[in-house]
Amino acid sequence: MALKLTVAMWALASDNEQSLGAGRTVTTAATALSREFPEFSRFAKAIFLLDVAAASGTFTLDVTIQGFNEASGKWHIVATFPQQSAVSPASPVAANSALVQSATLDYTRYRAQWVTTVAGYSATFTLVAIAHTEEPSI
Amino acid sequence: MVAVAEPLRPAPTRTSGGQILYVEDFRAVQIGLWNDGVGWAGSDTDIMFGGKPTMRLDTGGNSNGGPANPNRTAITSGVVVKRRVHDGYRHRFGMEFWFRFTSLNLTSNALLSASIYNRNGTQAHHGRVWLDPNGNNVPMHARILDGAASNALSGTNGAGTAVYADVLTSVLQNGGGTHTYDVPSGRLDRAGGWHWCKLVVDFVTLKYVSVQLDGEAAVDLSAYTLDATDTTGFAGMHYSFEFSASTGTRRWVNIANVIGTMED
Repeated sequence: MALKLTVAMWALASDNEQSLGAGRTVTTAATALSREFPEFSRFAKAIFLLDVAAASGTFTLDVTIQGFNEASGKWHIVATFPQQSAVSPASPVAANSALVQSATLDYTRYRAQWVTTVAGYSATFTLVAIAHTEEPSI
Repeated sequence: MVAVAEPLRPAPTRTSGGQILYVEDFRAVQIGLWNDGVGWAGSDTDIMFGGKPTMRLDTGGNSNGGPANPNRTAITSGVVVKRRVHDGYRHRFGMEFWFRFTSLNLTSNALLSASIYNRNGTQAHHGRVWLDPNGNNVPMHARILDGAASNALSGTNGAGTAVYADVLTSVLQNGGGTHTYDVPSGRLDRAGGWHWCKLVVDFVTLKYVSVQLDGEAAVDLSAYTLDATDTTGFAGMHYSFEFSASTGTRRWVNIANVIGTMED
């Protein structure tokens, strides 16, 4: 039996997730990091879904998923979304959409990074992972 | 045909008694508790206990602003990982668990505590034990949130200074600075040194009942009242662990085999 887990990855380390809010709004040029997600540690694969729900003005949004090397303290890029610059297509989104990235979960801990390079705009996005694994034996 | 099997063995514990309400032994692929603070809490298969994964609490580099103790209400600038169970102030409840100090930097500037608290719509009543290593490899202390003293000093708005009473000292060295598992620094002791604790509170009398730490005898806490603070928050009973730090250095501890009990 497959077990699945939904993870809202727009949470920051300083966020209380009881009131996370419906997406992350970015308005300036910045590089931001989500909190670290140990939730993935016992799951085998995931799809990562990026969706720009609302936007005004001209912007670029570059999102990567990263896994942690605990010995070096460095993060490794495991999935990269194509640069976003507009509101995502309406539902249904095409199966092979660039807004969907798949990865095997070989790391124990993951995070997301989002980079914006200009100012004078507003964009709100969600980044969610659906992880899955087979039912463990213990 | 009669099936023959090995007899059931109880969960790893240092006590008997108490009707089990729930067991969180972290064998499932995802932890059943949830972090209502910051940082993170998750299943940890690097640090196992009793053949099962444990739960790691990690501050994630968040700072709690430097309080002297774990405060009157849970410090939400750190991890607050909890299980909620509804009960209308009708019973005695217990919480037992194993824990180890896992990473470096835990002998100072870090606060680990466990709590059982309930709310009635106008007030919260907090029972909390602060698991204080008190330094590096000296006997650790169990200090409880003293409700009467905290109310006398700071009133009931919940914002004032908390008073903790030192009620129990373990004869064991705390292991807060040795036998650590801290990969970045090359310390890879997965065995560690596990402590055990059980806290029992009474929501009928609004008093503590007892606390046990490691192999020490249970200490009678019937002279201590739970700390009452004004709140209109969600009227549910909470079993929680709080872990925070006063600097941005990441720290983590591990919890195993959490058992919630009813002790009437």
